[in-house]
Amino acid sequence: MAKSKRKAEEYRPLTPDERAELERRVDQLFAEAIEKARTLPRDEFVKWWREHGTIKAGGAYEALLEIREAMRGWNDRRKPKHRRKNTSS
Amino acid sequence: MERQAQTEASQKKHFVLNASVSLLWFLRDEPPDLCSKADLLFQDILDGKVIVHVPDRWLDEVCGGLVKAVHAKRLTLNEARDALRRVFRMISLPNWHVHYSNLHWRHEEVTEWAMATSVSFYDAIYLFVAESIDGMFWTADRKLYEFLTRRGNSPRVMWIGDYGESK
Repeated sequence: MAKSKRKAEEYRPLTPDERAELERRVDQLFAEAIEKARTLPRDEFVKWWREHGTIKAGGAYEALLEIREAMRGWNDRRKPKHRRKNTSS
Repeated sequence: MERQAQTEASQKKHFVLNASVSLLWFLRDEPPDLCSKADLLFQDILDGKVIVHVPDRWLDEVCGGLVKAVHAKRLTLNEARDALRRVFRMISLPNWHVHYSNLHWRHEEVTEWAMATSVSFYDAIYLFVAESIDGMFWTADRKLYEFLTRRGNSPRVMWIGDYGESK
């Protein structure tokens, strides 16, 4: 997975107020999204959600596929064939 | 005939979702062609037209993907927290069902099933849940989809890129 050029962040947990604000914001977003899902045609819903519901970032999908492949223990690349050494003399 | 129609209707409505599908809903910079298809499914879930079943493993995978993206500096901490909050909001929907180990599925059964079908244990959990609810399994993991369809005996597996095409 290619690393981005973003600088490393220092970890800081959310304060209770920040967590409450995040929960409130996401609840509000979902209430609106449920309403839009019921009323908008499909293409309009997709457009609305992409503009208003998504986070402007990515990388988690690719990261998950890498994890899944590692857990699975196989990938598409074929192992190179090794020639046996001729041990007969 | 009527019974067959009922079965087909139930298969269309009860879906097992791979974690790979769910990560397409909340982040804008994932593959756009897959996101737009996943969003159609997302709309059907929010509208209550689809009943979702996921194994508890699903949440492990979603969290794992987010953490790895943070470590790779593709996501900020707050972006990952925001995405995770949305994930938990999805779980709280009335038509979202989590299938827990030792309650809805057993490790011994899934292990046997995985060994018999040549899929990994982790992939087998999803397929096992799909069998148990008599539903379809939607994935955005192309390699898994191709592996299962190549074998030809996994009629339940569906590619998210095909979602909504029969409508």
